[in-house]
Amino acid sequence: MDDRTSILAPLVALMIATAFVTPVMTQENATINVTVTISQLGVEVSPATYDFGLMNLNDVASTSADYFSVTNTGNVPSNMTMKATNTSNWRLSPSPGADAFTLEYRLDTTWTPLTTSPAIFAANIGPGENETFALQMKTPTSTTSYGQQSTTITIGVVAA
Amino acid sequence: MNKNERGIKNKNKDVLRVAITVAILGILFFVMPVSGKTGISVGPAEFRVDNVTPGQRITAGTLSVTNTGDNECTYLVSVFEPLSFREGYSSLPDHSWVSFDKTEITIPPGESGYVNVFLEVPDKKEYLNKDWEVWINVGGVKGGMITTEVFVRMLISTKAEPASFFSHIMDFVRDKARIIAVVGVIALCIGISAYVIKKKITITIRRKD
Repeated sequence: MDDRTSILAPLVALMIATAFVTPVMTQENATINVTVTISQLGVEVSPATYDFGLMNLNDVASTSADYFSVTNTGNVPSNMTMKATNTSNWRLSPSPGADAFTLEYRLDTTWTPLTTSPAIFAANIGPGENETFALQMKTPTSTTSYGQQSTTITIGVVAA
Repeated sequence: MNKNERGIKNKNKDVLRVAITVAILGILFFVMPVSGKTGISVGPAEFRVDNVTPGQRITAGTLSVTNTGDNECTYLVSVFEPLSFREGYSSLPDHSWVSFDKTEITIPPGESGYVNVFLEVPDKKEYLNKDWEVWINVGGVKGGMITTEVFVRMLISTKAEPASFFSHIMDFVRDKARIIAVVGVIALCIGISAYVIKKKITITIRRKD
């Protein structure tokens, strides 16, 4: 028993010492820290579609005020972005032109034209909060392409 | 030109007028017949990768993407130049340093998918001690007139530049202090062990007496 103790004691001491020394030696190799905040981004838009129907050239049509509702379904305050796409024949433009149409949104009183790049339209929306908006379509002043056209509007969200 | 020929010509003109009128009236702004709501949820909203060593390829994180809309949706994953930056961070010099295990993912309503994000900063001294921000865009491309997307903030900090001569000295002193502390602990352990052994031997001698 005593012999075992005399052998084990230095070993235990060595193990304890190793436990202290190892972090010191490996400290230089600890290279990457990835920090993840447990948070969720989320956005929901309703309804998911709208049909402006039959329109003439150089015409304007809009949805009712507050037709679309966008909700922050995440758990962090977020900024909302919006963008739209060109159609297959018409390009999206700040004002109507030849084969150029305009799509605008309105939160309160001002119509703001959409572009093909996302731009923040509602800032610092709290979790569970929502914004409503209307859309307005202006057809080209002239066109070489008659027939139905479609565009996609994308609502984005980013942590504020 | 006789009367019949004029009549045919006028008739053709009328047909042309009607055709143009119908065409002008026929500008439809048609949208895809997808109804209900559209939505997306992605976590985390933001992640930070610190102490990145240029030249090393790392897994920076995993994005969880959930389709919270009513219809199946295909999402594209890409790197996006931030619209605004966190304080102290600037634009990532090259978006190709960030990559994904998949750049397109189709998710049925109510279900989730996962995307791994990788980072590799080229091994250059100029990339040491930098703080960059880049956004990861997960955006719906198929699913209706209105689609949704998210932008996840990715904050990247690279290792500090190699230490100066003075800081080398400070590190040496600091390391010495650590070594002295470790040696002290070892000495203490050995001392305690020796004390215990000695005590056991003493007990044994007393029993023999």
